[in-house]
Amino acid sequence: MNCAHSRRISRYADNELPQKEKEFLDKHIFTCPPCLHELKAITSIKERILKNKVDTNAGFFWQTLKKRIDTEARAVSTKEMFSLDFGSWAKRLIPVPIFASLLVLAFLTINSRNSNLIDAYLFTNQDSSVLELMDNAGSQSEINILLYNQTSFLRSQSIC
Amino acid sequence: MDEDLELINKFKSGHLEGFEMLVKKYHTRVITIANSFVGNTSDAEDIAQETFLKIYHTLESFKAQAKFSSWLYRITVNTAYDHLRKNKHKPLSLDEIDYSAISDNKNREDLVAKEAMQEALNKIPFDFRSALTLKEIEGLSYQEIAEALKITIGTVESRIFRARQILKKLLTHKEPDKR
Ligand SMILES: [Zn+2]
Repeated sequence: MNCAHSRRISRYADNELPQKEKEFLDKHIFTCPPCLHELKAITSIKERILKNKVDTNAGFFWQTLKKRIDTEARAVSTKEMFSLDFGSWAKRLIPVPIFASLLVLAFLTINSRNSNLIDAYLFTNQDSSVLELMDNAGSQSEINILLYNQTSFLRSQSIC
Repeated sequence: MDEDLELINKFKSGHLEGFEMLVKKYHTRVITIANSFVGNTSDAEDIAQETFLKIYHTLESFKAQAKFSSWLYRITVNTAYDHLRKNKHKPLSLDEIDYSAISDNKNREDLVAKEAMQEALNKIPFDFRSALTLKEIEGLSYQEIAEALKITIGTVESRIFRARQILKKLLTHKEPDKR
């Protein structure tokens, strides 16, 4: 580029110059070989880049994109379903430990009350039928059941 | 009202056709812009798909004050940039073209010229190339390019000028061999 105006040819080729400057270059270019050469080079580059334009099938492109959108949507809804389910399950699960604790507490209270009753009963009555039942019972749990039945009976008789 | 904005509003009111029409209107331009960065249609189509997926997910929040095409081109350029960075894209060199596979002379010359141009484009810094591509392929004004790339008009002008200077040098130094 040997002309001071050559720098402006890029903008001129893009039609981005103010009207006055454009009118000046319209005339100048045909009298100035470096500017004309610059314009030809830029025009050739423009044409060659335009050849890189890609032709594609709009329908096929859209179908591919649509499939991706649908797949994503399905993945998201499955994830949401799972997290929702988990959420409701979690909500349902919250009372479980509370209920279990209450159950254990109740059991312990009843149990300690029972053993007090049994102790008192055994101490005061030494009922042979009970001792016999205890002898016949196979396991600790059977003894517990037998004693519980017995104390329930006593309770109903207003012994305690 | 602007046609794109009408389509966007259609999409926002629950009609996917609005988005479909935007895709069909712009997909060739997006692929062509992407192609000028990666130099092959397959990767360019992947970039275009990514671009439109991003658009699909964010279109709800699109503000009417902005121009849809500027926004779309910016996302295209950014997606192409990410793609190049991730894949450390190696453009096909002129020596790697299988000339024997191209029987027709005219097509062969076209392809060689195309590849030479692509090779030259790949050597231009990304920022310069973005501005030049939006100018040459999309025919955007400097003002529109400035909006799309969030730079000043002066920067647009200078980037396009410099990109062309580099291309001129590269293409005159390595004119395609018309075998
Ligand atoms: Zn001149």
